[in-house]
Amino acid sequence: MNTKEKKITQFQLFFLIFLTQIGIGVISLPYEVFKDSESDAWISVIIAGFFVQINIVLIWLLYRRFPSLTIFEMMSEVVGKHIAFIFKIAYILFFSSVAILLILLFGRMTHIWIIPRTPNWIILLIMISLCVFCVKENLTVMARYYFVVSFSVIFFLILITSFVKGINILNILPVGQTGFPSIIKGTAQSLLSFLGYEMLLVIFPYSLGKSVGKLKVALLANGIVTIIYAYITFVCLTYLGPYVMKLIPEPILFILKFRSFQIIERTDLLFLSVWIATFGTSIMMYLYLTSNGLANMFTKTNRSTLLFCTATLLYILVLFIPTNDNVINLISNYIKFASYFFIFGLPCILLFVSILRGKKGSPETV
Amino acid sequence: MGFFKQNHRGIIQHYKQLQNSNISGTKVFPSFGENVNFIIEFFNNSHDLMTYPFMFKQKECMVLYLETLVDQDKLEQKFFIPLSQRENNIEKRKSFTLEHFPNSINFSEITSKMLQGFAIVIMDGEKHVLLIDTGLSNDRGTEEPNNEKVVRGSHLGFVENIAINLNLIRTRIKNQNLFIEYQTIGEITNTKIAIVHLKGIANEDVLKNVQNRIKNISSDMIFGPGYFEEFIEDSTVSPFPQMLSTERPDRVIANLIEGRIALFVDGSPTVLIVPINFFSFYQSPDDYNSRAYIGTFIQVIRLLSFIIAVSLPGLYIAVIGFHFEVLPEELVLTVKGAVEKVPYPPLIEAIIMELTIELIREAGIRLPSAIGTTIGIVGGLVIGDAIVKAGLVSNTMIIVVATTAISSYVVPSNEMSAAVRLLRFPIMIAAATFGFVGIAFSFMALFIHLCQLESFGSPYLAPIAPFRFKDIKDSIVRLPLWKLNNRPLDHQPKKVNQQSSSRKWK
Repeated sequence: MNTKEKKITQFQLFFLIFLTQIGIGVISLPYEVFKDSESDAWISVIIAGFFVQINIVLIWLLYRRFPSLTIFEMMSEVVGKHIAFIFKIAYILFFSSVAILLILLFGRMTHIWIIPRTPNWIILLIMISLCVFCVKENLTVMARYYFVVSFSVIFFLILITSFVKGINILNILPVGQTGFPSIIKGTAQSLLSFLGYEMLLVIFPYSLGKSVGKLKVALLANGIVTIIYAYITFVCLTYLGPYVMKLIPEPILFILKFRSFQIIERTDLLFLSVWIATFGTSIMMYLYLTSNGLANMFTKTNRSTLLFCTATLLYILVLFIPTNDNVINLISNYIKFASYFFIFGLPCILLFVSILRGKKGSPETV
Repeated sequence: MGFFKQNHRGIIQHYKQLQNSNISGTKVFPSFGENVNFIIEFFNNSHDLMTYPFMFKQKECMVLYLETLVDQDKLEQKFFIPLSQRENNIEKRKSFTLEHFPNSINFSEITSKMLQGFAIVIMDGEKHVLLIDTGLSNDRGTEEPNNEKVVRGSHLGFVENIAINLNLIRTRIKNQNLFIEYQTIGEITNTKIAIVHLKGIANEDVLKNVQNRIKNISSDMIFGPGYFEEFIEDSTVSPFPQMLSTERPDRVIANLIEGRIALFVDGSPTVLIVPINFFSFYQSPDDYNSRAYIGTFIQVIRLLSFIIAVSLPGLYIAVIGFHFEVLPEELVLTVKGAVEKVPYPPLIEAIIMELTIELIREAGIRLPSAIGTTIGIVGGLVIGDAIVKAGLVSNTMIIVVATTAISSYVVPSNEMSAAVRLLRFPIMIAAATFGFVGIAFSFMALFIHLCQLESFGSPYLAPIAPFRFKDIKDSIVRLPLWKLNNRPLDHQPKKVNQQSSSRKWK
């Protein structure tokens, strides 16, 4: 582990996980899940959250065997240098492709909803520069910033709660009408929105405190995210009803758009502008993960230099990817399957191999 | 280029010789005449160097002093009157000696004392030189500083003399742990500065950091705290002040007891306090003199003023230029009606008005009050009905700009107010280019910067980031004093507890 990095407290760890998970996924989550599990979408979301909890425990078990190593460092211990090298590259590619997807989604969102006539490249350039500006320092600065941004989530929840009085419970009754298979299908759809907790693979050793405490914090963060997601899905479903839900890819924005608050109309604009900061936190974390992995491979180069190179590369790549629905769906499908492997499969394999080979890291130093 | 460099170096060396004359190790010479000549030579025969030879115990003696620095009355009282009495009165002859004056054998000390207003006595056959403190000081009274007035509480203010300022602190903290460290910086001006802290409360690492940074200063002159600040602050590119400057002794004392460090500079009534956080700039001693509800209310209003002052013009520009649909129906017609008659985009309109306000402020600030009022009246014409009737600026813009201007002057600290006024221009431009997204981006950049910023190792945005719930009660809101048993921890004080339950009687 890089010893220069200042460690973060568990309180800060909570916000790092929380805000990396919550991000752009929220906006289309109800629609994506609804496609498969219809009016039982909220159950799918809760089940997905439960799966993620199990996955977090798995990551934690792996971390417990190597309490001071990130995933990049522990791989060479477990499977040897050569295979680890391939895996490292794979992880870096995975993290950077998630970053690309997030950037693309962000570009599309601002383009459709806020400023349709401004060229996309400049918005993305500013966003990426801001992310680099934040990530170039260290985790402590990021954690401080994440805390400030977390206020936007409160703002969001207040907005959502403001249309609770318009909901109609009948819209989701009878519960479980779609049957178990389609609920599970919906679960798979919603997992994409939960992405972000895999940063624990890298971040766990950078936080202070006992390992049990860290697990609790991670579970709590994901639990709260699950509750918020389920709540949003529930509100959207009951407010709009199944017939309207079929037609609207971004139900939250749609509701906000037509809800007037007397002193302000078009709340969606205001909400999206505040929410940009939350988009940013997710992109920042993936940039951090990528640069951390690269710094592990190129030990002689500064992390901020590598970060700058990655960001430039990603930006150029993003410029060449056309932002239409087909391409974005393609990338998100690819990431969905890749994430099964990288977040669940590979840590599983690593854990078993390390148990079988009896590998264990040096005991934790706090 | 090489030639220039060498030449430059040569000049510096020559200058250094002239400056120091390398007297640091020079001891007093055995012969009387040599000593006198050395002093006269050292001051380049300056016309204000006074000499007065006399005989004492059949020995040749001489008093030397710089007339412009010495209080003649003090010199008479301390030296000449006892001396003449001794000569006239035989009884007292034995009682008066020169032994009780401090003495020195080192010329560098002697000359530096002379520059502080000491008179020196050189005696034939003695190995040391006597030093008599006769410094002249002409100070104004310790009146309340104009820019930091309070309604209730102490009305004292610092003055230019460092000794008086330190006296104001010492007489109010009667504690042996108050530690004052002197340092001299400025190679020509030899300005005296004092680093003051409370031992056992202030953090030693922070103190070492401060001392180290001050030691590193190499400059010919230090003429004020602003000049000095730029040498030791953490980030020089940041628009935010990273040290709190105040002219109020009560504020300095409160901060010292909180565990911070105060820097006094001779010749300036402004005292710098480090390390500091963002929210300290929004506090005033008045908050602690009024009731807790009122203190909290005012503090929250001040913080709100920061958001308004920074974002309101940008928000208005974004709404007019990009997102007209945000306005409720009833407002659309009035705003649209006002904006439509203005010939240029809202950004130009806003910049004209903001610049006008800055101009009025700058014009009014240095003028005598009689003319200042005139400026106010003329300014009122420009930012008022006339400019709207002329069709140059819209009505709503006037309201926005006026609200912004008022909010930006709410901050009790002048430096922070300037930072806030400056920050809104980039936000206005961002809003005019990208609408709400531009404002969101600017605020992201602002908060990332604030999270990165540190003042002498303590986070600038504490207690929000890093978050500490217990410290919020003394920074963002102001709880009743009996609730504030612990110090805030952002600057890592060594002693956390500052009081225990003071309302036990209940």
